[in-house]
Amino acid sequence: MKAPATLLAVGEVLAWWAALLVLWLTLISTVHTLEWVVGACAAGVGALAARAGRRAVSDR
Amino acid sequence: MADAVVVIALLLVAGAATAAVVNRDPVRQALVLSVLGTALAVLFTVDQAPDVGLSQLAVGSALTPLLIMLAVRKVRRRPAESGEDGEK
Amino acid sequence: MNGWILAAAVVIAAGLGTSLWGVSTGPLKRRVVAQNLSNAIVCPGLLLLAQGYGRTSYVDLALILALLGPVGTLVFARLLAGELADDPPSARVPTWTVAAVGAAVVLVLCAVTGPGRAMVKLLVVGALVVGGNLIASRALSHGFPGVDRG
Repeated sequence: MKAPATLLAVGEVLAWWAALLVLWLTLISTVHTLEWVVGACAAGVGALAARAGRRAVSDR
Repeated sequence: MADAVVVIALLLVAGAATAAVVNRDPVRQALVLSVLGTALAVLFTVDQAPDVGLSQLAVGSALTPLLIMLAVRKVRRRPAESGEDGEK
Repeated sequence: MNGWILAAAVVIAAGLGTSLWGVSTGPLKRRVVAQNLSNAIVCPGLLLLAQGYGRTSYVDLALILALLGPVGTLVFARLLAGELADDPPSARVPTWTVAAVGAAVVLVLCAVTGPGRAMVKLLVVGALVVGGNLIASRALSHGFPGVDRG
């Protein structure tokens, strides 16, 4: 039963990533291609950190 | 009108700084210092220096109180332990 | 344009003046409440200043304050938990008054800005101000369940 857990983890990271990317695009002033790239990278890092933080809080 | 808000911010900063000096307890000083940081950020903003205000907010709202409160906690805990100066 | 700066001056003078008085006198429980409310009342003032100067980038100041102000209050609530546990502060009326001022300012600014990304940003800031204020007030009066005191 390894596959469902992996799928769930990937889904959670993707959900965090989408939410953080939307937040980024909301808070910047002008939307360029470079902003998309930087925002996507930052949202990726943030999504991993957010999942680690949620696990640290809920799995204690 | 723009000058009036600068004067208000200056008065608030002066009042907060005086209150921080007048209070003698470090914990209460930390509380007043937090409000002083907010007032300073407002002063920087009305003086059209929002970048300085941003760094003031970032440092003054959470970091400075945390440092002071941790130091106070460490100092207060010291006498409660046994007389020998063991590190903890 | 001057009306926004006048409103900001009134909000900041009244709010920060009151919380300065509250934070420098009285018992400890009133001081922590005043410190919490000073963050929550300066935030709408900064939003009004951004509108008054016509610089949308000044909204970032209010965003940072809305994000970090409750963090500072939580620091006090956690490290003063021992002192506050005996006599927990409860300031329902001032807390909800400040939250209402913040919500009213954000809604007025949203109505002026009109629909768009700027309005969504204002709503994010408003949600952070009101939510952070309420969470920090709750932590001050109820402590941290599940975390040992001291």
